[in-house]
Amino acid sequence: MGVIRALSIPVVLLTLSAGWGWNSARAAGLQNGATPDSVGSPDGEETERAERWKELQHALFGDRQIQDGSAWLGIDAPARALDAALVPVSLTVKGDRAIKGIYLVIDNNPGPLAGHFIFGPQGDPHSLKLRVRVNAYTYVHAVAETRDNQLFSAARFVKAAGGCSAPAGADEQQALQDIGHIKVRLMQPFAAGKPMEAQLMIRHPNFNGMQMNQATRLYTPAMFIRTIDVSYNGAPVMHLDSDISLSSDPVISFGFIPPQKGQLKVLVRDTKDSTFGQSFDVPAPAG
Amino acid sequence: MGAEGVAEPEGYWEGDVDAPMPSTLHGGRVIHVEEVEALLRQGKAVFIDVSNTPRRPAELAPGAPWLPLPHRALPDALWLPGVGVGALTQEVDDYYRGRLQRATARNVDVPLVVYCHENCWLSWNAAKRAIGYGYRRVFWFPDGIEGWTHAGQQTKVAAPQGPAARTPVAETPAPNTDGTTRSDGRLPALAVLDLELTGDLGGPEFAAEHAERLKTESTRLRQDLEGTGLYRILDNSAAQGMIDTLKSQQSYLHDCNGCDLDVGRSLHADQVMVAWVDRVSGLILSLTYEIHEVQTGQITARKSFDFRGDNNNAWNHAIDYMVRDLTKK
Repeated sequence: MGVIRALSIPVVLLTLSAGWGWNSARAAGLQNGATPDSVGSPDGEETERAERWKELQHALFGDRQIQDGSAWLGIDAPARALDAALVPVSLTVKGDRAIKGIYLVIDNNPGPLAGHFIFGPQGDPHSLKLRVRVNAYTYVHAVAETRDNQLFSAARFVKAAGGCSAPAGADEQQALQDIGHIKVRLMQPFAAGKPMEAQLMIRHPNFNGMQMNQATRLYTPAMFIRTIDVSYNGAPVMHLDSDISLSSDPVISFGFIPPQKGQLKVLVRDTKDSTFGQSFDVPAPAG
Repeated sequence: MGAEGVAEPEGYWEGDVDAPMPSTLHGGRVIHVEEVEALLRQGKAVFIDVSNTPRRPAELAPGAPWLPLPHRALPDALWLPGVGVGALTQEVDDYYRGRLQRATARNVDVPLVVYCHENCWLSWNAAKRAIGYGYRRVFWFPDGIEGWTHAGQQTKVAAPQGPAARTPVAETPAPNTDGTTRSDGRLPALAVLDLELTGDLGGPEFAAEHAERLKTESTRLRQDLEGTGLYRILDNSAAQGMIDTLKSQQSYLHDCNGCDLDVGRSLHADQVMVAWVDRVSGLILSLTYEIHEVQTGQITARKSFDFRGDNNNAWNHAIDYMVRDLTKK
């Protein structure tokens, strides 16, 4: 990733150990207006959450201003997730704004930046879907960056906890089977120049290093997907810098616009520097 | 919370941490929010949080932000990660036993309240272990921090202690019997050990910077304390050999089962101050100090201060603030 310069913040703010006992007057107004109605979280916590987001904004985007994008930037996730290790999130962009990329931030995850999507010329930013791990009740923020370098955000509150340390599944050996196996489903029939949605399924345990193997009492070493590149006939569709918050066996839906029949190519690279690639015919061969 | 019918295991639980739990603990008592609150109000119980700490995976891209949320605990809790796993190493076992002794002043009738999360066997194990150590009033709070917060109760930020955390630290105003004047009227002789750094040290590139900062800030701390006129600050050089030996054996002198008291004794100090900075990230840090009574080993004062920014300026402010606060008693 390397794009994010974290933490060079010379803040000298000192409070007593009442934790995030921040200056609540300062925090009372959510500066972006990007936070939706709170879903069952008391006011004191709300102030804390606003502070957390402010903190993250600073760490991730420095002094750049983030405007309220909630009129056209959508983020959706179940208010209460069934499985904290598999929380579905969908991101939508309405209208014709030229979007360079979208950041997905899970505020209260220890590694809060879950992913940064960058759209290529053949990409279609209108709809993205993925599944993530959520460690604690949290706001999830989408931050869209337009081609003229403006940032807009929208947020959603999700109640789920424990997703980061949840065991990765039945067992490690099994999780590693078929690693790198990639499938793509096209969700619409092909029509030249018309947007299409594709669902990308990657077999990868995406171990985040926080999962304990209950048999050995040891942490399973981290091994997760760093980047995913999708291109169409050689032209970039989407690049994803991902992180430990992506669920195991990632399923990512994205849009693209095929000018003519061709091939969709997917290239996945993980932290072991293993690369997995596969190409798919568009339209999909009959049968 | 315990599902009906889950029997207590014979020994410690070694299965999934979040598997269904029993609703009982042999030799201890199961309590819920109201009782925890009552014990907290009485101010006699020791609260032990045995939740795990989040660890930064080494494989995380170097620039990727790692900003774990500050750990929230019951207001007076000691956070001792790792003492609730099924099988303890000798080191952690010794540590847990010793830490409880210090916290209870070796009184096995001091109530202990052990918890972690809702549905978290670690607290059951740790409570059972405390019963095994001989504590007679062990309370297991299975609803955990979630149960506590959902009931609208107060929490405080805590920092982890102990070898399993690699990062000691307590944040907890301890019984505050302020020992700043002796009965004979002379100033207490205080040995101030060098500041220590715990938590996420930020990688090898920060090592030199941190070593330098610990040195200058330790000097600043001594000067600030001297300036308060409340203490006679001792020169540690007479015990330098001992300090160096201890440093080679212990990860942290502020958390070595009282080895700091040996230093204090050899310097003829009345009290020893240990202070350390826990670095959660380059942005979030906390400074904690404890003053130990050399004769009894009692902690006479302890307090933590959050501060932001791992830089000289922020550290200076934190140290100055801490010393000012210490004079306000």
